[in-house]
Amino acid sequence: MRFIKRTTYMHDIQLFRYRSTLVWYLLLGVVVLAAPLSMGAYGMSLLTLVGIYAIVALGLNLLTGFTGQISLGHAALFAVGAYTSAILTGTHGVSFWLALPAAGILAAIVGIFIGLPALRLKGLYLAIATMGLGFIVEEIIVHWSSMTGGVNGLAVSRPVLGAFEFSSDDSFYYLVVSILFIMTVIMKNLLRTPTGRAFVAIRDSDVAASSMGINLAAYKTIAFCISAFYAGIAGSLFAHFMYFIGPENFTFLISISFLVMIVVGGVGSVHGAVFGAIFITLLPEFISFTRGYLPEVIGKQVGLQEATYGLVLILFLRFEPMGLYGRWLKIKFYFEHFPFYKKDTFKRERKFYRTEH
Amino acid sequence: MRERQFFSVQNLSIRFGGIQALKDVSLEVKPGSIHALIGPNGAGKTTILNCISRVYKADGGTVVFKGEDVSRLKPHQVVSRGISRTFQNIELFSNMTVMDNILLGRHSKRQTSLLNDALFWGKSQRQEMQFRERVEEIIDFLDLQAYRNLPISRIPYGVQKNVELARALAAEPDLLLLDEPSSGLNVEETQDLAFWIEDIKEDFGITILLVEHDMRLVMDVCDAATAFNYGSVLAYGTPADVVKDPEVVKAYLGEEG
Ligand SMILES: Nc1ncnc2c1ncn2[C@@H]1O[C@H](COP(=O)(O)OP(=O)(O)OP(=O)(O)O)[C@@H](O)[C@H]1O
Ligand SMILES: [Mg+2]
Repeated sequence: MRFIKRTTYMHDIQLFRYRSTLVWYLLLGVVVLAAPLSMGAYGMSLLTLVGIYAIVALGLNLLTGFTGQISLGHAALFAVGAYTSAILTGTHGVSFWLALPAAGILAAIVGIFIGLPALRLKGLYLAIATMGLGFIVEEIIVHWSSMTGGVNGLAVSRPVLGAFEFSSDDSFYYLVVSILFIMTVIMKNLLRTPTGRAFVAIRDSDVAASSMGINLAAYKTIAFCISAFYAGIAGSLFAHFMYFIGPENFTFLISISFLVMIVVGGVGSVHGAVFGAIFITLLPEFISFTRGYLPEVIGKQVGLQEATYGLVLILFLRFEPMGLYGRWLKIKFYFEHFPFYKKDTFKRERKFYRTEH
Repeated sequence: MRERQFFSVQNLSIRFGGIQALKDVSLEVKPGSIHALIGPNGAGKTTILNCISRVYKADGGTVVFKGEDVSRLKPHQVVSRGISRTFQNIELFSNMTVMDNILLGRHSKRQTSLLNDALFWGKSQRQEMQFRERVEEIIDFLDLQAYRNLPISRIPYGVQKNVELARALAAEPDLLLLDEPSSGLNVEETQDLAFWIEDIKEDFGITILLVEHDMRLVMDVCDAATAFNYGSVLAYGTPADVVKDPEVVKAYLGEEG
């Protein structure tokens, strides 16, 4: 058990409440920075993808995990970011360093439209509406071929900084890691200020939230905007990392995989974003690896990946709604409280006392 | 010339399908007073509070607060005018801690922009400190220290009611609306509540309009009472007079008989 004596309010607000936490994060930082030394090219490209997906997951988690608004249109926002950056740098010769924020901002604007249904719809209906808008963007990409290259896609170049080009995978990895770091700090800041609390308030009780002075429509729109901004930034990085983008990178299945990412990682947790991103990057690798070993009927199935996503979603929602991060917390709690651990500590409590009288 | 009213409701009416929940309700609350709304179940007491805080849109009538007609505001604008409330069925943010719930009570005092919050620099940091300082004062006042960092789902019902009161106080209102603050509390908790309500009036100078079934509490702490039945005002006066009013007695007996 750990008790801390708070001496200033900063204790409650600061990012690292215990010195040991800070040490762990510094250690993690060293491992992340040293990764290229021990990993091969293939490993590094997977790690870079993890970083890119983690940015998407951070944003989607803000929307779905913290604000309680589901989106099945995030692949579209990812696409808007990717194409904005690709077209600006490719066709118009704009620098990557301007195209990157532009990708985020344009995605945020599209995010407002994807979020419009949220002002009236909830739950399943919102899911369907955002899915529809996602399909619209997908269609636009395919048919507006003068701009997007249609089904042929677009070639994208790696960014340059002065004389330096991020052409090696290691250098691009460091670029992604730095941006992920900045995006994480911004997210953490939002969550410890009135903005972030307002999002969570909307998720828990909209009547109470509006009686506290929270403008529901404005905050839901802002949540979509921020979430879309994250997806757009990640999309831009994705485009420049892959050298090439096409409509097949932004299908509905990608939206689903983003959702799987936050459910698996842990809905409503910032750490979970990274766990989820690791999972979703490794899963396709794992599936294609095991295909060969599976009986032919299963191994040769076309929808194997889709089915696996579905299965994973169902299993997590049923057995571990708090995701991998929740599991990690429980393990940590178990060791911290070792002899005294009670099995029911995390059981959800039922409430019978909500009475009317 | 008439003296400017602090808070008044004029001819408020609202209908739900076949039920006329409020019919031409008028009442006035004097500044610095504790005013009770009483009446049998279904009389329309909660509906009045909901119309004032704009959870419901009244069909007709006005609500005037400090000279301003507040009956056309959006629900989220009410608190910034100086009216905050609690709910009959607790409406806390159940996945957040006690601390965060009360901090949300200060949302209407927010001065920072989104960008400022994202950077958590300067004004944003100072604001967060000020918010916490104020919240700690309220936590001390309502004896919530032991629960500060617990999530709502793990604290007892009576404490949850207290947290709701704390959250409403954090908005620093001029008028506090309480919907059955004592329901579900035991005798001891109800006594604490009576003291707190009086302190809120005396020390913070906040006017209180409360719905209450516990007549002891009404008699002990309230300066005025308005009794209702079927959406209409039956009687208005000091609590002692109102409970003796023949119409009021009949309404309560009628309910039991
Ligand atoms: N949202 C609503 N839809 C339909 N009818 C409603 C609604 N809200 C209130 N009513 C009706 O209006 C009437 C007054 O309800 P209200 O909740 O104001 O009663 P109350 O005086 O607060 O009663 P209690 O003491 O039980 O809390 C009741 O007949 C109730 O059924
Ligand atoms: Mg009521």
